[in-house]
Amino acid sequence: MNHKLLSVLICVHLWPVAFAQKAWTVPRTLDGKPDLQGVWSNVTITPLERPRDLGDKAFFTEQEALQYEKQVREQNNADRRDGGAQADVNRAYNDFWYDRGTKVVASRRTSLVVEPPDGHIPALTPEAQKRQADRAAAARGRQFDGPENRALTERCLVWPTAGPPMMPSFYNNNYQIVQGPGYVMVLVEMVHDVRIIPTDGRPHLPAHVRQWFGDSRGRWEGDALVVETTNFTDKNSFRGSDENLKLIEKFKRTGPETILYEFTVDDPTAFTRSWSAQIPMNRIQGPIIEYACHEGNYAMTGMLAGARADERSKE
Amino acid sequence: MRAMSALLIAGAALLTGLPAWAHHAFAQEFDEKRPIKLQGTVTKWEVINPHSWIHLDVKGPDGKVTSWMIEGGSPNALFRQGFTKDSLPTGSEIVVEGFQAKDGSTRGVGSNVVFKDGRKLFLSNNTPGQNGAAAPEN
Repeated sequence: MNHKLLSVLICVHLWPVAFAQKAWTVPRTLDGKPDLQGVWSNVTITPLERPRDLGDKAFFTEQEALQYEKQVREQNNADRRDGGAQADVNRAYNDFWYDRGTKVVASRRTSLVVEPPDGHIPALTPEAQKRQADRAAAARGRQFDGPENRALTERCLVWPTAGPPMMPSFYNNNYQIVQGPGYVMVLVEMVHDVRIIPTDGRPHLPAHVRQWFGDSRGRWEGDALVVETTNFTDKNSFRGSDENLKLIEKFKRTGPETILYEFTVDDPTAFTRSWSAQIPMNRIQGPIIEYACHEGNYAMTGMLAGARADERSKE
Repeated sequence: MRAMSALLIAGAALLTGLPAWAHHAFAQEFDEKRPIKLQGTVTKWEVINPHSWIHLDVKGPDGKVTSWMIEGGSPNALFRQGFTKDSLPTGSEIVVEGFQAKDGSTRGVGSNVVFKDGRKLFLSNNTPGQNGAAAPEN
Protein backbone atom coordinates (compact mmCIF):
# COMPACT_ATOMS: atom_id res chain seq x y z
CA MET A 1 0.00 0.00 0.00
CA ASN A 2 1.52 3.28 -0.99
CA HIS A 3 1.50 6.31 1.25
CA LYS A 4 -1.01 8.16 -0.87
CA LEU A 5 -3.56 5.39 -0.64
CA LEU A 6 -2.92 5.05 3.07
CA SER A 7 -3.54 8.76 3.56
CA VAL A 8 -6.81 8.57 1.67
CA LEU A 9 -7.95 5.58 3.69
CA ILE A 10 -7.07 7.30 6.95
CA CYS A 11 -8.93 10.42 5.90
CA VAL A 12 -11.98 8.45 4.85
CA HIS A 13 -11.84 6.48 8.04
CA LEU A 14 -11.39 9.46 10.35
CA TRP A 15 -13.60 11.93 8.55
CA PRO A 16 -16.84 10.91 10.32
CA VAL A 17 -15.06 11.15 13.67
CA ALA A 18 -13.70 14.59 12.89
CA PHE A 19 -17.13 15.67 11.72
CA ALA A 20 -18.83 14.32 14.84
CA GLN A 21 -16.34 16.07 17.09
CA LYS A 22 -16.67 19.42 15.38
CA ALA A 23 -17.39 21.88 18.13
CA TRP A 24 -20.81 23.48 18.24
CA THR A 25 -20.72 27.11 17.23
CA VAL A 26 -23.38 29.74 17.57
CA PRO A 27 -25.53 29.53 14.44
CA ARG A 28 -25.94 32.74 12.48
CA THR A 29 -28.61 34.26 10.33
CA LEU A 30 -28.00 35.13 6.68
CA ASP A 31 -26.89 38.61 7.72
CA GLY A 32 -24.35 37.13 10.15
CA LYS A 33 -26.12 37.79 13.44
CA PRO A 34 -26.37 35.11 16.15
CA ASP A 35 -29.49 33.10 15.38
CA LEU A 36 -31.85 33.11 18.35
CA GLN A 37 -34.89 32.11 16.37
CA GLY A 38 -37.24 29.41 17.49
CA VAL A 39 -39.77 28.62 20.19
CA TRP A 40 -38.39 28.49 23.71
CA SER A 41 -39.59 27.79 27.24
CA ASN A 42 -38.15 29.23 30.44
CA VAL A 43 -40.17 27.06 32.81
CA THR A 44 -38.34 25.96 35.95
CA ILE A 45 -39.12 25.51 39.61
CA THR A 46 -35.92 27.27 40.63
CA PRO A 47 -37.24 30.28 42.53
CA LEU A 48 -36.30 33.85 41.69
CA GLU A 49 -34.88 34.30 45.19
CA ARG A 50 -33.02 31.74 47.24
CA PRO A 51 -35.19 30.11 49.89
CA ARG A 52 -34.21 31.61 53.26
CA ASP A 53 -33.48 28.27 54.83
CA LEU A 54 -30.67 27.63 52.32
CA GLY A 55 -28.53 30.41 53.78
CA ASP A 56 -25.46 30.99 51.63
CA LYS A 57 -25.82 27.83 49.58
CA ALA A 58 -25.64 28.99 45.98
CA PHE A 59 -25.80 25.56 44.30
CA PHE A 60 -27.56 22.31 45.07
CA THR A 61 -25.69 19.05 44.83
CA GLU A 62 -27.32 16.58 42.47
CA GLN A 63 -28.95 14.79 45.38
CA GLU A 64 -30.16 18.01 46.98
CA ALA A 65 -31.62 19.12 43.67
CA LEU A 66 -33.63 15.90 43.40
CA GLN A 67 -34.85 16.35 46.95
CA TYR A 68 -35.80 19.98 46.33
CA GLU A 69 -37.67 19.04 43.16
CA LYS A 70 -39.60 16.41 45.05
CA GLN A 71 -40.42 18.86 47.83
CA VAL A 72 -41.64 21.55 45.43
CA ARG A 73 -43.69 19.07 43.41
CA GLU A 74 -45.43 18.00 46.61
CA GLN A 75 -45.94 21.60 47.72
CA ASN A 76 -47.30 22.66 44.32
CA ASN A 77 -49.55 19.67 44.00
CA ALA A 78 -53.02 21.14 43.71
CA ASP A 79 -54.50 17.69 44.26
CA ARG A 80 -53.44 17.83 47.89
CA ARG A 81 -56.38 18.14 50.22
CA ASP A 82 -54.61 19.22 53.38
CA GLY A 83 -54.85 22.76 54.66
CA GLY A 84 -58.62 23.06 54.77
CA ALA A 85 -61.20 24.78 52.64
CA GLN A 86 -59.37 28.08 52.29
CA ALA A 87 -56.30 26.29 50.95
CA ASP A 88 -58.52 24.36 48.56
CA VAL A 89 -60.10 27.53 47.21
CA ASN A 90 -56.71 29.10 46.65
CA ARG A 91 -55.28 26.00 45.04
CA ALA A 92 -58.16 26.33 42.61
CA TYR A 93 -58.76 23.23 40.56
CA ASN A 94 -56.85 20.10 39.70
CA ASP A 95 -53.12 20.00 39.29
CA PHE A 96 -53.40 19.31 35.61
CA TRP A 97 -54.52 22.84 34.92
CA TYR A 98 -51.04 24.10 35.77
CA ASP A 99 -47.72 23.97 33.93
CA ARG A 100 -45.23 25.00 36.59
CA GLY A 101 -42.42 22.65 35.64
CA THR A 102 -40.75 20.04 37.76
CA LYS A 103 -37.02 20.69 37.37
CA VAL A 104 -34.49 23.12 38.74
CA VAL A 105 -32.16 24.84 36.27
CA ALA A 106 -29.35 22.62 34.99
CA SER A 107 -26.70 24.65 36.82
CA ARG A 108 -28.51 23.66 40.04
CA ARG A 109 -28.34 27.23 41.27
CA THR A 110 -30.64 27.74 44.23
CA SER A 111 -32.04 31.01 42.85
CA LEU A 112 -32.45 32.71 39.52
CA VAL A 113 -30.96 35.83 41.11
CA VAL A 114 -27.18 35.59 40.68
CA GLU A 115 -26.24 39.08 41.80
CA PRO A 116 -26.06 39.99 44.63
CA PRO A 117 -24.45 36.67 45.52
CA ASP A 118 -26.89 36.06 48.39
CA GLY A 119 -29.55 35.30 45.77
CA HIS A 120 -31.95 37.93 47.05
CA ILE A 121 -33.45 41.03 45.50
CA PRO A 122 -31.88 44.02 47.25
CA ALA A 123 -33.96 46.12 49.61
CA LEU A 124 -36.09 48.93 48.25
CA THR A 125 -34.95 52.46 48.89
CA PRO A 126 -36.85 54.34 51.64
CA GLU A 127 -38.68 56.43 49.02
CA ALA A 128 -39.72 53.29 47.11
CA GLN A 129 -40.94 51.71 50.34
CA LYS A 130 -42.98 54.81 51.11
CA ARG A 131 -44.43 54.83 47.61
CA GLN A 132 -45.51 51.21 47.98
CA ALA A 133 -46.99 51.84 51.41
CA ASP A 134 -48.88 54.90 50.16
CA ARG A 135 -50.34 52.95 47.27
CA ALA A 136 -51.36 50.09 49.53
CA ALA A 137 -52.98 52.54 51.95
CA ALA A 138 -54.88 54.26 49.14
CA ALA A 139 -56.17 50.92 47.85
CA ARG A 140 -57.07 49.44 51.23
CA GLY A 141 -60.74 48.65 51.49
CA ARG A 142 -61.36 49.63 47.90
CA GLN A 143 -59.74 46.71 46.12
CA PHE A 144 -63.04 45.39 44.84
CA ASP A 145 -64.86 48.65 44.17
CA GLY A 146 -64.65 48.17 40.44
CA PRO A 147 -62.56 46.63 37.67
CA GLU A 148 -60.14 49.55 37.60
CA ASN A 149 -59.18 48.73 41.19
CA ARG A 150 -58.18 45.20 40.33
CA ALA A 151 -54.71 43.91 39.53
CA LEU A 152 -53.32 44.52 36.07
CA THR A 153 -53.16 40.74 35.58
CA GLU A 154 -56.85 40.31 36.34
CA ARG A 155 -57.61 43.10 33.90
CA CYS A 156 -55.50 41.27 31.32
CA LEU A 157 -53.40 44.37 30.73
CA VAL A 158 -49.92 43.16 31.56
CA TRP A 159 -48.42 40.24 33.41
CA PRO A 160 -45.47 40.82 35.73
CA THR A 161 -43.62 37.75 34.46
CA ALA A 162 -44.26 38.41 30.75
CA GLY A 163 -41.60 41.04 30.72
CA PRO A 164 -39.53 42.79 30.20
CA PRO A 165 -37.89 41.04 31.96
CA MET A 166 -39.31 37.63 31.12
CA MET A 167 -39.77 35.19 33.97
CA PRO A 168 -41.22 31.72 34.43
CA SER A 169 -44.75 31.54 35.76
CA PHE A 170 -47.30 28.77 36.37
CA TYR A 171 -48.20 28.40 32.71
CA ASN A 172 -47.64 29.97 29.29
CA ASN A 173 -43.86 30.10 29.81
CA ASN A 174 -43.25 30.11 26.08
CA TYR A 175 -41.63 32.54 23.71
CA GLN A 176 -41.02 32.74 19.98
CA ILE A 177 -38.09 34.74 18.67
CA VAL A 178 -38.05 35.92 15.07
CA GLN A 179 -35.25 38.01 13.55
CA GLY A 180 -35.21 40.28 10.56
CA PRO A 181 -32.83 42.95 9.34
CA GLY A 182 -32.78 45.63 12.03
CA TYR A 183 -35.29 43.95 14.33
CA VAL A 184 -35.79 41.12 16.77
CA MET A 185 -39.34 40.13 17.67
CA VAL A 186 -40.23 38.23 20.82
CA LEU A 187 -43.74 36.82 20.98
CA VAL A 188 -44.59 36.17 24.62
CA GLU A 189 -47.31 33.61 25.12
CA MET A 190 -48.43 35.03 28.46
CA VAL A 191 -51.11 37.56 27.65
CA HIS A 192 -50.00 37.36 23.99
CA ASP A 193 -47.55 40.23 24.21
CA VAL A 194 -45.25 41.09 21.34
CA ARG A 195 -41.94 42.85 21.80
CA ILE A 196 -40.53 44.40 18.65
CA ILE A 197 -36.95 45.38 19.39
CA PRO A 198 -35.07 47.60 16.91
CA THR A 199 -31.41 46.68 16.52
CA ASP A 200 -30.55 49.35 13.99
CA GLY A 201 -28.93 51.76 16.41
CA ARG A 202 -31.79 54.22 16.63
CA PRO A 203 -32.01 56.22 19.87
CA HIS A 204 -34.58 55.65 22.61
CA LEU A 205 -37.89 57.48 22.50
CA PRO A 206 -37.90 60.94 24.09
CA ALA A 207 -37.89 60.74 27.88
CA HIS A 208 -41.47 62.01 28.19
CA VAL A 209 -42.85 59.05 26.21
CA ARG A 210 -43.64 56.29 28.67
CA GLN A 211 -44.85 52.80 27.77
CA TRP A 212 -46.15 49.75 29.63
CA PHE A 213 -43.30 47.62 28.27
CA GLY A 214 -40.84 50.49 28.20
CA ASP A 215 -38.84 51.20 25.07
CA SER A 216 -36.38 48.50 24.03
CA ARG A 217 -33.29 48.89 21.88
CA GLY A 218 -31.11 45.94 20.92
CA ARG A 219 -27.49 45.64 19.91
CA TRP A 220 -25.25 42.71 19.04
CA GLU A 221 -22.23 42.14 21.24
CA GLY A 222 -20.20 39.13 20.09
CA ASP A 223 -22.52 36.15 20.26
CA ALA A 224 -25.12 37.91 22.37
CA LEU A 225 -28.11 40.13 21.81
CA VAL A 226 -28.13 42.88 24.41
CA VAL A 227 -31.40 44.75 24.91
CA GLU A 228 -31.68 47.95 26.91
CA THR A 229 -35.15 49.01 27.96
CA THR A 230 -36.04 52.38 29.45
CA ASN A 231 -39.07 54.72 29.33
CA PHE A 232 -41.18 52.58 31.67
CA THR A 233 -44.34 53.99 33.25
CA ASP A 234 -45.15 54.28 36.92
CA LYS A 235 -48.35 52.27 36.31
CA ASN A 236 -46.68 48.92 36.60
CA SER A 237 -43.73 47.68 38.54
CA PHE A 238 -41.34 44.77 38.42
CA ARG A 239 -40.64 43.68 41.97
CA GLY A 240 -40.77 47.25 43.20
CA SER A 241 -39.16 49.01 40.23
CA ASP A 242 -40.39 52.43 39.13
CA GLU A 243 -40.41 54.44 35.91
CA ASN A 244 -36.65 55.05 36.18
CA LEU A 245 -35.87 51.40 35.62
CA LYS A 246 -33.12 50.69 33.13
CA LEU A 247 -33.28 47.03 32.25
CA ILE A 248 -30.49 45.22 30.44
CA GLU A 249 -31.30 41.83 28.97
CA LYS A 250 -28.82 39.50 27.33
CA PHE A 251 -29.72 36.56 25.09
CA LYS A 252 -26.94 34.17 24.23
CA ARG A 253 -27.11 30.79 22.51
CA THR A 254 -25.29 28.20 24.62
CA GLY A 255 -26.09 25.08 22.62
CA PRO A 256 -28.25 23.70 19.85
CA GLU A 257 -31.30 23.67 22.11
CA THR A 258 -30.56 26.40 24.63
CA ILE A 259 -30.35 30.12 25.21
CA LEU A 260 -29.03 31.66 28.39
CA TYR A 261 -31.17 34.68 29.21
CA GLU A 262 -29.81 37.16 31.73
CA PHE A 263 -31.16 40.45 32.95
CA THR A 264 -29.93 43.27 35.16
CA VAL A 265 -32.25 45.62 36.99
CA ASP A 266 -30.74 49.06 37.42
CA ASP A 267 -33.10 51.44 39.19
CA PRO A 268 -31.37 53.55 41.85
CA THR A 269 -34.56 55.30 42.93
CA ALA A 270 -36.23 51.95 43.67
CA PHE A 271 -33.49 49.51 44.72
CA THR A 272 -30.53 50.07 47.02
CA ARG A 273 -28.34 48.36 44.42
CA SER A 274 -28.65 46.79 40.99
CA TRP A 275 -29.36 43.08 40.70
CA SER A 276 -29.19 40.36 38.07
CA ALA A 277 -30.75 37.01 37.26
CA GLN A 278 -30.06 34.17 34.85
CA ILE A 279 -32.73 31.95 33.33
CA PRO A 280 -32.06 29.20 30.80
CA MET A 281 -34.47 28.89 27.89
CA ASN A 282 -34.94 25.51 26.27
CA ARG A 283 -36.18 24.87 22.77
CA ILE A 284 -39.63 23.36 22.60
CA GLN A 285 -41.96 22.21 19.91
CA GLY A 286 -44.13 25.13 18.86
CA PRO A 287 -46.32 26.74 18.10
CA ILE A 288 -47.08 29.55 20.49
CA ILE A 289 -50.79 29.51 21.16
CA GLU A 290 -52.78 32.70 21.37
CA TYR A 291 -53.67 33.68 24.93
CA ALA A 292 -56.24 36.39 24.40
CA CYS A 293 -56.59 36.93 28.10
CA HIS A 294 -59.74 39.02 28.17
CA GLU A 295 -61.63 36.74 25.79
CA GLY A 296 -63.51 34.99 28.56
CA ASN A 297 -62.47 36.88 31.64
CA TYR A 298 -65.53 35.82 33.59
CA ALA A 299 -63.45 36.01 36.73
CA MET A 300 -63.63 39.79 36.74
CA THR A 301 -67.41 39.87 37.05
CA GLY A 302 -67.24 36.86 39.36
CA MET A 303 -64.90 38.60 41.80
CA LEU A 304 -66.88 41.82 41.81
CA ALA A 305 -70.14 39.88 42.26
CA GLY A 306 -68.47 38.10 45.17
CA ALA A 307 -67.52 41.43 46.71
CA ARG A 308 -71.08 42.73 46.36
CA ALA A 309 -72.37 39.52 47.98
CA ASP A 310 -69.91 40.05 50.85
CA GLU A 311 -71.19 43.61 51.31
CA ARG A 312 -74.81 42.48 51.37
CA SER A 313 -74.04 39.85 53.97
CA LYS A 314 -72.56 42.53 56.22
CA GLU A 315 -75.50 44.92 55.93
CA MET B 1 -77.03 10.66 39.08
CA ARG B 2 -77.51 12.84 42.04
CA ALA B 3 -76.46 16.17 43.35
CA MET B 4 -75.02 16.46 46.76
CA SER B 5 -76.12 19.44 48.73
CA ALA B 6 -73.63 22.00 49.74
CA LEU B 7 -72.16 21.49 53.17
CA LEU B 8 -71.05 24.19 55.48
CA ILE B 9 -67.54 23.93 56.77
CA ALA B 10 -66.33 26.31 59.42
CA GLY B 11 -62.90 27.11 60.73
CA ALA B 12 -60.85 26.65 57.60
CA ALA B 13 -57.15 26.28 58.24
CA LEU B 14 -54.85 28.99 57.09
CA LEU B 15 -53.17 28.58 53.78
CA THR B 16 -49.50 27.80 54.13
CA GLY B 17 -46.69 26.94 51.79
CA LEU B 18 -48.61 27.64 48.61
CA PRO B 19 -48.21 30.31 45.98
CA ALA B 20 -49.93 33.41 47.30
CA TRP B 21 -50.76 34.55 43.81
CA ALA B 22 -52.75 33.26 40.92
CA HIS B 23 -54.38 34.75 37.92
CA HIS B 24 -57.14 36.16 40.01
CA ALA B 25 -58.44 36.30 43.52
CA PHE B 26 -60.14 32.92 43.76
CA ALA B 27 -60.97 33.57 47.38
CA GLN B 28 -62.96 36.65 46.36
CA GLU B 29 -64.90 34.82 43.70
CA PHE B 30 -65.51 31.48 45.38
CA ASP B 31 -66.68 30.81 48.88
CA GLU B 32 -64.77 28.45 51.13
CA LYS B 33 -67.98 28.12 53.14
CA ARG B 34 -69.85 26.76 50.13
CA PRO B 35 -68.16 23.47 49.28
CA ILE B 36 -69.87 21.52 46.52
CA LYS B 37 -69.76 18.00 45.21
CA LEU B 38 -71.53 17.63 41.92
CA GLN B 39 -72.03 14.73 39.59
CA GLY B 40 -73.27 15.74 36.22
CA THR B 41 -73.16 15.51 32.46
CA VAL B 42 -70.93 17.78 30.44
CA THR B 43 -73.00 19.96 28.11
CA LYS B 44 -70.16 22.14 26.87
CA TRP B 45 -66.50 22.66 27.46
CA GLU B 46 -65.71 26.27 26.81
CA VAL B 47 -62.09 26.29 25.69
CA ILE B 48 -61.60 29.96 26.26
CA ASN B 49 -58.91 32.32 27.55
CA PRO B 50 -57.73 33.02 30.13
CA HIS B 51 -59.35 30.00 31.76
CA SER B 52 -61.59 27.32 30.35
CA TRP B 53 -65.04 26.56 31.77
CA ILE B 54 -66.78 23.20 31.98
CA HIS B 55 -70.57 23.41 31.72
CA LEU B 56 -72.49 20.55 33.22
CA ASP B 57 -76.06 19.62 34.00
CA VAL B 58 -76.68 18.26 37.44
CA LYS B 59 -79.91 16.47 38.30
CA GLY B 60 -81.09 16.99 41.84
CA PRO B 61 -82.89 14.44 44.03
CA ASP B 62 -86.17 15.98 42.90
CA GLY B 63 -85.26 15.41 39.26
CA LYS B 64 -84.74 19.08 38.62
CA VAL B 65 -81.75 19.82 36.42
CA THR B 66 -79.43 22.67 37.31
CA SER B 67 -76.73 23.96 34.98
CA TRP B 68 -73.32 24.62 36.54
CA MET B 69 -70.12 26.21 35.24
CA ILE B 70 -66.80 25.02 36.65
CA GLU B 71 -63.66 27.02 36.09
CA GLY B 72 -60.65 25.25 34.62
CA GLY B 73 -57.16 26.03 33.41
CA SER B 74 -55.61 27.85 30.49
CA PRO B 75 -56.41 26.21 27.15
CA ASN B 76 -52.76 26.63 26.12
CA ALA B 77 -51.42 24.60 29.02
CA LEU B 78 -54.07 21.95 28.54
CA PHE B 79 -53.35 21.64 24.85
CA ARG B 80 -49.64 21.22 25.48
CA GLN B 81 -50.40 18.45 27.90
CA GLY B 82 -52.30 16.65 25.19
CA PHE B 83 -55.73 17.64 26.40
CA THR B 84 -57.91 18.55 23.45
CA LYS B 85 -61.59 19.29 22.90
CA ASP B 86 -62.06 15.58 22.32
CA SER B 87 -60.75 14.80 25.79
CA LEU B 88 -63.93 16.01 27.43
CA PRO B 89 -66.76 15.33 25.01
CA THR B 90 -70.30 16.49 25.55
CA GLY B 91 -72.12 13.83 27.49
CA SER B 92 -69.14 12.90 29.65
CA GLU B 93 -70.14 12.19 33.20
CA ILE B 94 -67.86 13.84 35.71
CA VAL B 95 -67.67 14.46 39.41
CA VAL B 96 -66.57 17.85 40.68
CA GLU B 97 -65.58 18.70 44.20
CA GLY B 98 -64.97 22.37 44.76
CA PHE B 99 -66.50 25.60 45.93
CA GLN B 100 -69.46 27.67 44.78
CA ALA B 101 -69.37 31.32 43.79
CA LYS B 102 -69.89 33.78 46.63
CA ASP B 103 -72.85 35.42 44.91
CA GLY B 104 -74.72 32.12 45.03
CA SER B 105 -74.77 31.62 41.27
CA THR B 106 -74.23 28.09 40.03
CA ARG B 107 -70.60 28.63 39.18
CA GLY B 108 -67.72 26.98 40.91
CA VAL B 109 -64.07 26.20 40.99
CA GLY B 110 -63.27 22.51 40.95
CA SER B 111 -60.53 21.49 43.32
CA ASN B 112 -61.03 17.91 42.19
CA VAL B 113 -62.50 17.04 38.82
CA VAL B 114 -62.65 13.38 37.81
CA PHE B 115 -64.60 11.17 35.48
CA LYS B 116 -67.46 9.26 37.04
CA ASP B 117 -65.31 6.13 37.28
CA GLY B 118 -62.71 8.04 39.30
CA ARG B 119 -60.14 8.57 36.55
CA LYS B 120 -58.52 11.94 36.63
CA LEU B 121 -59.19 14.05 33.58
CA PHE B 122 -55.50 14.22 32.91
CA LEU B 123 -52.19 13.78 34.63
CA SER B 124 -50.05 16.87 34.66
CA ASN B 125 -46.44 17.94 34.38
CA ASN B 126 -45.20 16.31 31.24
CA THR B 127 -44.89 19.43 29.15
CA PRO B 128 -42.10 19.52 26.57
CA GLY B 129 -39.45 22.04 27.48
CA GLN B 130 -40.02 22.02 31.18
CA ASN B 131 -37.19 19.61 31.71
CA GLY B 132 -34.30 21.76 32.84
CA ALA B 133 -31.89 18.90 32.06
CA ALA B 134 -31.25 20.39 28.65
CA ALA B 135 -30.46 23.77 30.14
CA PRO B 136 -26.98 25.20 29.98
CA GLU B 137 -24.57 25.59 32.83
CA ASN B 138 -25.13 29.11 34.03
